[in-house]
Amino acid sequence: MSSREPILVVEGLAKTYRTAAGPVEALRDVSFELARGERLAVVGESGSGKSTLVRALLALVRPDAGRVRLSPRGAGRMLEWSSLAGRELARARRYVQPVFQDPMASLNPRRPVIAAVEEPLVVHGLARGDAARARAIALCAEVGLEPATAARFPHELSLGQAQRACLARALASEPELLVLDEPTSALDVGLQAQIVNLLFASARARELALLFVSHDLDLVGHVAERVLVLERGRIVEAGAVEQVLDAPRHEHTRALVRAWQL
Amino acid sequence: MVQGSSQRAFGVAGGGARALARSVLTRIGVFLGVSVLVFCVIHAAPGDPSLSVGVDVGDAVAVASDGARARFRAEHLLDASLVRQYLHYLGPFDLSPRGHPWFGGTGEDPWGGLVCFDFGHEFRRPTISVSSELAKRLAVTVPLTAVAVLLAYALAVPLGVACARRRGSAFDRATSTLLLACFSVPAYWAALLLMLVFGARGLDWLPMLGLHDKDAAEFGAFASALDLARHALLPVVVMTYGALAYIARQTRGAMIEALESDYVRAARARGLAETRVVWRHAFSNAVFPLLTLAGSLLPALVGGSVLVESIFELPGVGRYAYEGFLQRDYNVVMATTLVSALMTLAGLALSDALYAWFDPRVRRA
Repeated sequence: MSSREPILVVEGLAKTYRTAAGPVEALRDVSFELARGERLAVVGESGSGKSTLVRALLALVRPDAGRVRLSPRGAGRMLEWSSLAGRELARARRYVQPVFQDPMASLNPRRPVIAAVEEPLVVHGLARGDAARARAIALCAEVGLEPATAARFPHELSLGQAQRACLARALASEPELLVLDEPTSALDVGLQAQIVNLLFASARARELALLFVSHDLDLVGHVAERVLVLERGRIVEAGAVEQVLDAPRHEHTRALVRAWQL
Repeated sequence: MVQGSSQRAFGVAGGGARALARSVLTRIGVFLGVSVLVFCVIHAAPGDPSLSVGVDVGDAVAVASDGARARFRAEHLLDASLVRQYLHYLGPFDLSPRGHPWFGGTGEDPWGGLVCFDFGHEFRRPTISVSSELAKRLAVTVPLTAVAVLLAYALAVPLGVACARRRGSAFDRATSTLLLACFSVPAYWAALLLMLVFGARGLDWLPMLGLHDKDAAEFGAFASALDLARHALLPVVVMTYGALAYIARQTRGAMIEALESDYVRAARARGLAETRVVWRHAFSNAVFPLLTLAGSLLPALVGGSVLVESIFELPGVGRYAYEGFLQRDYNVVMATTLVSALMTLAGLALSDALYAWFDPRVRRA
């Protein structure tokens, strides 16, 4: 891991939400690195800060402390990702793309799928007009959606097709890091395997780093090279996937693994 | 799966014509039901239309003789059974003494009634047909209502969107409180307050009653337009503010829901400009509930026009209905109520159509 150059460097990330019931520390001093093309899983129970981490990495929430740096090849330099704003942030967003848990909810119900795949191409100036449409069709084909299917509205697709569309949309802006928030938990087992294989193929072809959040340790064991364990906003264990799943050191990880083995 | 969804689409498209026919028939049924209900209610209400019968003598009306009243009662079948009266009203056969020969009439006036689009004549002014008077009144009410609805949407939607984007801010809280206050103020109270403040007893900035100045006939085009605008301003404000508050609250709620959806989050993460995220992705989805709202708003505004037109003495449908009730003019009451029922049904049909047009899930289905 250390031999590969990092795409993402997270240092001392902290985020506290003010709620009616008092402040809630969603993230506390979270630091880690992710190398180019690496596959990292973040595991933890609900309320462990996974969603906040995802949103911070997508620059959808601003951390209270700490920073996230991003080093995409396309930009040619290290970006202060967590403190970018305005046009700079908008331009840099193409390098980090999300895939969310519920594919139906993450597609605009009023737009055909092909339009969603085409939009990032146009917005980031990668292609226009017929060229953009052709690229979008090619991306859909890559994830296994035929043009006729891609021309449909989200509600006319199956869950698996919708998640493929989300993947095509995420790949459109030529990202170097995909942040996947429980990308398969809405799907049944057969579909999960298809989507995971698709992710693998796309990531390898592009030297794409994957950071995915999951509570499904089967998936984690299958996909990830490295694992971070979050508990109440803090990283309690980190290491290679075999080591963390087979010989967990932290009590919380042991509890997670026990629950999984049952 | 692909096959399944196309079959589904076909199945519903094939039933489309039947569904349309069914909804049209249902609406005709509802309309007839309303006509029966209103007919029964107005006839059950105490009071005798023949008491208000009179002979027009210039501005005054002289009280009619007993003989004239008896003739009036016979002419309008007021002593016949309720069923016969309703069938007379419904048409197409005229059941009055001068009506169709099959029903004992002289045959002078064989056809008439609702199904012939004939609302009859006013009781008090027998030379005036209700339809022609109604057309004149609609020419006042419809533009006023249309302006009020458009104004309400034009102001409420940007306001609701702005609140949703700054959710929880001082601006949002202040606006929401103000809108809630607006929504809670009864229209008649607001109307009287506005009249007191801006009318002759207060600042004397605006005329209070009617639609035209008494000298309006001598005004030029611009002056008479200005005169009309000055007269219409307060009524439009009174008709608008409640709807505005309601639409703005609905817009805010729908926008907050849309802005928190994953597809908006995904759109943001894609690096789209904020205006594109807000309008193209969030608003285009938040707009459905607002469209349905338009269908239910229209009848509410038509109903509200009774109050507003009475207070501001505007010669519209609402005031016509009010006058009809006071004089027990069954024909006027029936006509105004049925017109507003028709508008309600049209409003609902309109919102269904808009909904289908805007929502691909309905459009494709």
